[in-house]
Amino acid sequence: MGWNFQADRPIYSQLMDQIKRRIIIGEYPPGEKMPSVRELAMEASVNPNTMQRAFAQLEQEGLLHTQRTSGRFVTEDRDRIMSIKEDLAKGLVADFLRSMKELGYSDSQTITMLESASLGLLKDEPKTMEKEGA
Amino acid sequence: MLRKLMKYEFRATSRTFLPLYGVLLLVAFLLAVFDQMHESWGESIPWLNTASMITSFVYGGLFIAIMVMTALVTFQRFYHNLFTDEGYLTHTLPVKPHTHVTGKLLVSIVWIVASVAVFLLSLLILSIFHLQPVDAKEFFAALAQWIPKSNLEGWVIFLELLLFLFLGLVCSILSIYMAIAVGNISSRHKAALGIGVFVGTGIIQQVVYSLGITLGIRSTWDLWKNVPDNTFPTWPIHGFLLGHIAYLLLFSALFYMVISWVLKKKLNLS
Amino acid sequence: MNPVFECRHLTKAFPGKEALHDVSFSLEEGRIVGLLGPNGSGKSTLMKLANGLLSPTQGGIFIDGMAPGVETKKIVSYLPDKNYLNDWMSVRQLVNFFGDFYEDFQKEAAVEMIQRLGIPMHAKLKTLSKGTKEKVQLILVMSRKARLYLLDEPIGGVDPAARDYILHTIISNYSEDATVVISTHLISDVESILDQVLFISEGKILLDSPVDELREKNNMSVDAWFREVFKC
Repeated sequence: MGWNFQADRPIYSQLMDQIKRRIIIGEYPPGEKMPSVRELAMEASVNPNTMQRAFAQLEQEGLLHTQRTSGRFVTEDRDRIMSIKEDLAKGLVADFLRSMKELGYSDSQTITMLESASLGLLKDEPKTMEKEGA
Repeated sequence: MLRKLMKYEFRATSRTFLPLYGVLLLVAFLLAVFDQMHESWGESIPWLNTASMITSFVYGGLFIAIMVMTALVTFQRFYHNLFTDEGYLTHTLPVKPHTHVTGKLLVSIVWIVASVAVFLLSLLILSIFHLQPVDAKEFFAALAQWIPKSNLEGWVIFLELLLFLFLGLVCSILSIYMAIAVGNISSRHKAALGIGVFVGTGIIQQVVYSLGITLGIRSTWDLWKNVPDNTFPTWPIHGFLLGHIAYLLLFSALFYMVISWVLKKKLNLS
Repeated sequence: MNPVFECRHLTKAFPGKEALHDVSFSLEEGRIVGLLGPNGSGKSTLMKLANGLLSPTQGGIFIDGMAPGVETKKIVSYLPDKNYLNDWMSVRQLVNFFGDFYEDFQKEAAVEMIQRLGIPMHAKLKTLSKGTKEKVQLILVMSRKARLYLLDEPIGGVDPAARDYILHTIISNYSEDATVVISTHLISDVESILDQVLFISEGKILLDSPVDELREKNNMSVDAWFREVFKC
């Protein structure tokens, strides 16, 4: 998964979002040591100060913590990670509903569409799985 | 730092001079060979005379080329290294501006002396087939005789003479460096300003020189009265040489300071 | 602690043109700063003044509290916007040259970077392509452990891959004790690595701001804001 930014928003907050995502999906598992600020900055092609700021903020939010000489670690507080995951999911849902509303669909219409789409996905799955098997 | 600068200065310039020197010595040797062939087999080789003539021309041409190149490279490098794009590299080195001047000056002098030495060497090579070991012995014997015979004062005068020649070279080179440096202050009339400065300093130098000579003669006029007959005192020689040395030192120092000032305060790289 | 790079009411006038007028700013260490402005706005003049290649007409310019001179040249690494290295020297000779004159030059690091790019050490500079020459110049400049790096248009006129390489080199070289000033008119390419920006136009500083602050306040990228500010 690459790093993508838009320059019209502060980059440090975008970095925070992307790091949060990686924590949630387990790319940076709980309790694991984080790559150094410099390493990650190089990977993301951003200013190390910006990355440092993102790290500091994440620490404030309790997702990362520093062990004095060993560096930065992901929190072991799985509940916290869970709640961040939920917040992110809720945000995505809210954005989606808002976008659909702008198109003119009511919430219940949107939900119906979602249900059929998800069923549709289930029907398509064997085909994709076959492709992967072959 | 000076040594490092000079090292790179030599590297940059030896690419031009060493091949020329090499070819000159080679051509001298060739001429010597032709000369020898002419003596031994004379008229039986038809192309010998033409070959000799052509080679002589080449030798002469090379000699002139070396003289011209020495002058050209001396001043072209000063200009190029300090006042063109290369100046971006030169002037950002952690080196005081006057050190650059000293480095280039010394390297130029070395090449001038080297060219004279190489020329003398080529003359030696020209006559290489006519020399006998005896000649070498005679030469060194004469030298050995002459050295102890001279007294202390002779050596002092010799040293004064060397210093005089050295400073003469230094002063001339610095006056041209200064003309180049000051000329560069102007954005649009570099050459004109440079020439103007050169002519101007020449005139000032002449005036000071004349004044100096007049003063020198006037102040020592009376001393001539006390000279016993049939002797020639040495003090006029000292006076002459030391006076010139003082004059050259004065102007050399002046030029050096002006050049350093220009490099420090009036640089104008495009 | 002196700021790494400071200007106080700096003015530089040439016959017929005032290149810089009353420029004042102060840069702390550990920053990557963008000096952004249209062509002819005075960016190069400012960098030349910082290197002692020009003298101020009025006001002062200070590197780590000192006026430009031998001591500042030891801690400033400058990449001008032109080919200024001796063409006839080989890459190896140039590496040795830098090592000879700059105590803070890291020879092994420079050689490693050059070799990793596949550039032969014995090649004479004039035999290399323009892009390669520029990479060599950049490597030499960035291989010094200086306190202030002044890069004049380092990415102008290079292909995207070379540009990425240059930006990557700048980031990986980052040090908390040093500051990098990148002057350019190609803002969108360098935005993501900047901490702070200085907008300069017609010799005057129009804006001096941390980058994220600018983005938050205006809800647009620095590049977009620049276009707003300099709209014809």
